[in-house]
Amino acid sequence: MDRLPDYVAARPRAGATAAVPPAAEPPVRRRTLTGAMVAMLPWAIIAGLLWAGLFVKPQPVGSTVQPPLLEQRDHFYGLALAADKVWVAGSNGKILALGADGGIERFTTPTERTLQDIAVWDASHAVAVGNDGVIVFTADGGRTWTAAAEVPRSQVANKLNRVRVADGGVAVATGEMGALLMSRDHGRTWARLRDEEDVAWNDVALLGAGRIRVVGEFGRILTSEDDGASWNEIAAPVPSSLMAVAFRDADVGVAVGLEGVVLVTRDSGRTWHEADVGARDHLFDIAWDAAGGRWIGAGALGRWVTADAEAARWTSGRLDDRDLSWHTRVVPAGGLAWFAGANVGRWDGERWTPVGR
Amino acid sequence: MIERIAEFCIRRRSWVVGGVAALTLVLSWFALHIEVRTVFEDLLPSRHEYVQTHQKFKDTFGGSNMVTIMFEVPEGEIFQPAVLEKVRTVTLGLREVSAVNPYQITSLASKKLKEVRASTDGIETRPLMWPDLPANADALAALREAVLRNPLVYGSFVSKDLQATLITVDFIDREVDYAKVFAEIRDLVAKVDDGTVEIRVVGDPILYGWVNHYVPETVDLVAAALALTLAMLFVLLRTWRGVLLPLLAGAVSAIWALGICRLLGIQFEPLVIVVAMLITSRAVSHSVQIVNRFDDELELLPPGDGVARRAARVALADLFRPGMLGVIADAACMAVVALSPIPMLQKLTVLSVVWVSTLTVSAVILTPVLLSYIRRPHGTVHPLDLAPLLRRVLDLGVWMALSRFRFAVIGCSVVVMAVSGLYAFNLKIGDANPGSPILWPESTYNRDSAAINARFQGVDRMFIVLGEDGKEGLVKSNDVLLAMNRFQRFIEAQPEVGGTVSIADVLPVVNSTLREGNPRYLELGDTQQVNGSLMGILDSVSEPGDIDRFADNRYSNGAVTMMFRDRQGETIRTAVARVKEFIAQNPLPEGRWQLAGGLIGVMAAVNEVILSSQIEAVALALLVLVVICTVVYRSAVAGMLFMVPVIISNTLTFSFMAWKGIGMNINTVPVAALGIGLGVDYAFYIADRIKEEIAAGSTPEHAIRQALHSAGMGVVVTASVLIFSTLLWWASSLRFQAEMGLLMAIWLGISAMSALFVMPSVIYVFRPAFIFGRREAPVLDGLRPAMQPA
Repeated sequence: MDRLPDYVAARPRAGATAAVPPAAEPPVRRRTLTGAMVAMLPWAIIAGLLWAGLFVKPQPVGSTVQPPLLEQRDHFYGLALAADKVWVAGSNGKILALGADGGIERFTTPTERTLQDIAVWDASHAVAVGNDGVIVFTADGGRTWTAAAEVPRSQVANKLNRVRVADGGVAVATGEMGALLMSRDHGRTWARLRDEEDVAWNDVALLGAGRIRVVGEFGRILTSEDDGASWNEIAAPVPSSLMAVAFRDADVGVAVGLEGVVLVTRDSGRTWHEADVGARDHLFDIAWDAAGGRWIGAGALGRWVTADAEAARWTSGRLDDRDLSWHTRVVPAGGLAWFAGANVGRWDGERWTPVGR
Repeated sequence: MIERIAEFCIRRRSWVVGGVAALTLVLSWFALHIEVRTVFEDLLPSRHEYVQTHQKFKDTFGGSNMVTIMFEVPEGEIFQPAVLEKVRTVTLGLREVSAVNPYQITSLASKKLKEVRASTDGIETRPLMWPDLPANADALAALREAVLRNPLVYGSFVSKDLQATLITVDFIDREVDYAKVFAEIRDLVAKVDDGTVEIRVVGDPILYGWVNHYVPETVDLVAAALALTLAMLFVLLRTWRGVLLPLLAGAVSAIWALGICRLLGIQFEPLVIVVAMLITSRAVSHSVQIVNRFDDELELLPPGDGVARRAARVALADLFRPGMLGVIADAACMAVVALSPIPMLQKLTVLSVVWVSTLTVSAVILTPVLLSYIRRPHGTVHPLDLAPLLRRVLDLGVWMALSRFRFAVIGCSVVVMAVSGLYAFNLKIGDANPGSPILWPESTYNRDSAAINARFQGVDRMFIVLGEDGKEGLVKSNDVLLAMNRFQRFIEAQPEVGGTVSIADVLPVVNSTLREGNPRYLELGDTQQVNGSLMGILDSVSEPGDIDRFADNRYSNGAVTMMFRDRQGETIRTAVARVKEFIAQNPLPEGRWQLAGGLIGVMAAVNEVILSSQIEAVALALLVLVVICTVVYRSAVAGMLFMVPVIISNTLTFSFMAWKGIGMNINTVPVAALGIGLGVDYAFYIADRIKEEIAAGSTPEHAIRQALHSAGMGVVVTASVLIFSTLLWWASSLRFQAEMGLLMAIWLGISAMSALFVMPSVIYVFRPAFIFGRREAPVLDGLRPAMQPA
């Protein structure tokens, strides 16, 4: 290999003598610069070919891809209605605003932790909570999100599961290791309502006038009448974990949990009785649909449950026979309901319409 | 020198013929025993980084010979006893198929697809449908639910609409015999195929199995092309010698080449038949040129004793230089392909260089020697004379070269070269369209492949490995698990990537199961501690082999497997570029990223090799050609002159490939590479003849006219004959062969046209010194004292 360049370099003179004499023969032409260049040209081409052959190695150039806003692996644990849009929060700290026209906008958030829930006060204020005690809030309708500082933490585990809001900038977040945190300034600062303990509080209902109802692991239920200053624990009516609680008014409420457990109270949470919905799938959320005058719940394997206003007659089914996704959030909106979880979609009682994908 | 060789060959003709005959006889025994098959390992550039990763991990993480079988019900769901029974029968039957890796059979009916469940003792795993089929409707419904719950099965092995399910099976690469696997799997499938269920089978063993399946048809096509060639030669040349000698030349060189390759232990790949045709067409061309020259010479000689001998000697001497030059240039240009690191191309290069080199004897020497035996050379076999028609074409060539039109010809050629040269850059590396380019889009295989890709995440796989040998337990570390997870999310953004799977997908399921099935824990833990214990739990409930497709048994290397919906060059390039982009942004604190195994990984390697050697192949082939011409004609200008037809035919052919969406892949590269030398043979004959005429004292005009009417006639005859016979390939069931046939026809057409129309103009305009300048004695001086130009 090493000798090849020498060869090329050594040849031009031989080539020049071979190529030039005939040119000089017919009408005697002078050995001009042009003549020399013409004679050199073939050798330059040979050298060029050799160089290209030995040293030109094209490298593959691949294009890049802009990931879609709704990714295959995204889970959206939380969903809230904000003005004319639906906000969902989930994997990787993602908060998306889904428009009625199908447009999707992604908000920039200061976290990559998975967000477990989102709640909205009004057109400008909202808060989202998630893994490792992360709490982010906005005061400008979602344009900027700020992480709340100095959120009380446990040494053991800090996943926050749910956040509920009430008038006056009040918010309560629930989570692992007995986390029950309250904010009174639209999510800016947070304080503990109860000491740490080894239980996960899964949901809270704010009934106004200082009344708070909390449900959690192992069927545990707490009530407070004074904004959390003092607590009363109700004897657990079932052993399995309760995942969500909602109230129609100050008195009538429903809590749902694992293995299809549904508990109904008619006395503001002091006593609960079990209702049979006829399905053993886990239930993860329950909501009061004021417009429709009904209860609606969501769960594993595409399960939905509904009941009349008194929560007496329950029906249940699957959103779609072939979509057995789990949903941790159901939010009624007009005649239909939004479900969020392994996927996000609308259900009008008949048809399940997932967003994206 | 050339005269002496010619003299010697004709004088000792019995020796020459006897020697060739004896050698042919011996080699034909070997040629008949040549192995016809595709050796998979030969397709891989073994030193490429990706291929090394592939070779190291293919037995655990899945090789590139994976076969996928889809069972599809037209109505309803697959959860019917009859359908599941079929799946089970085939799954079990696959263990009997040769070269199957029994640990790599995965389906609903295998032990490998499991469900992770919470139980009173914590968690347990149990196979979905192994060892027995669901016994009753309840069990069937339970199976259905278990599938729907399982993100590693639902969507991957059972389609989202529940109408289809997959069996995947992998093979032990070095033992795979495509034809055998193809037949055995087809038999197995036929056993359960009663028309109620659509069964589709894809994978490289099946693809190459189809190629083998069509070998008889290919042989028929070869026979038909041969018959057409001979028939056309018979009609055009009007002599038996014009038919038999080219046939003999082709046959002798084929026997020699195949025999020698058998001796060298090189097998014959079915797809390479196209290359064999290409080379045989060269044999026919050279032989026809000589017969044609012989006939020309006869016309000038009075009938009499020894006429054939004299004419044969003239033909041999006169065409020895351009003939040898053509053969050697072809062979040398082909030899450049041997630089490729792909063993198949290296072996193919040996085959074709040997084959082409045999033409020096079979065509350039044997044909004239046999011609010398002809007793009554004058006269024709049939009265139909098409020569006047062909002469009109040649006259057109003469007119183009000698009239002012010659400047237009040169101008147009330059434009064509520039435009097609630029357009040729659109040539795609790798497959240019979805489906296999070897078969037609409507072929069973491609329809099966499209159907499976439409229902599932994708058939073709690539895995990348995270970890390092010797670092036991590295895969269990948080860094690696989180990196896998981020990587999967990142790479799935590409639409052609249907899905990915890794151990980082299994742990969240364990995590959630431990938390009573709470989906809020369907994620990796935040800390090493959590993930380590999840891994420990998974370990304790899994059986040997369960984790194989995710990590090696010491957990020092883990795989992320990506499923691709197509294997187009662009898809693969984008994927590899994105993988590298991700790696650059996410370096591992310990261990490293290793690209890339599986079929797509291997194809990425092959494509990269082809791309990086593309310029090399073309440039070095041109260089070889230029050097040979320069040496033979002792003029660098000669090298430049003969580059013209080569560049025209190559840029035009590459442009055609770009236009028709024929990508440069492992199958097309040989044809394209061998074609580089192909464009120049015809030009050699024409230019050399002009040179000879000038040397004999002709005027340039007369020399060009004479050259076109003698050598040009040979070009027109062989080009038209071969173009028609290669076009027959269009009828092939193998799209690859059809396209290559078309490509060859175009190649032959362009090189003939550039030899007939462009070269004379260029020579006439530029008057290169090596043709016009030195008045060296013409080769034929000693042989043809009586002959003088009119």
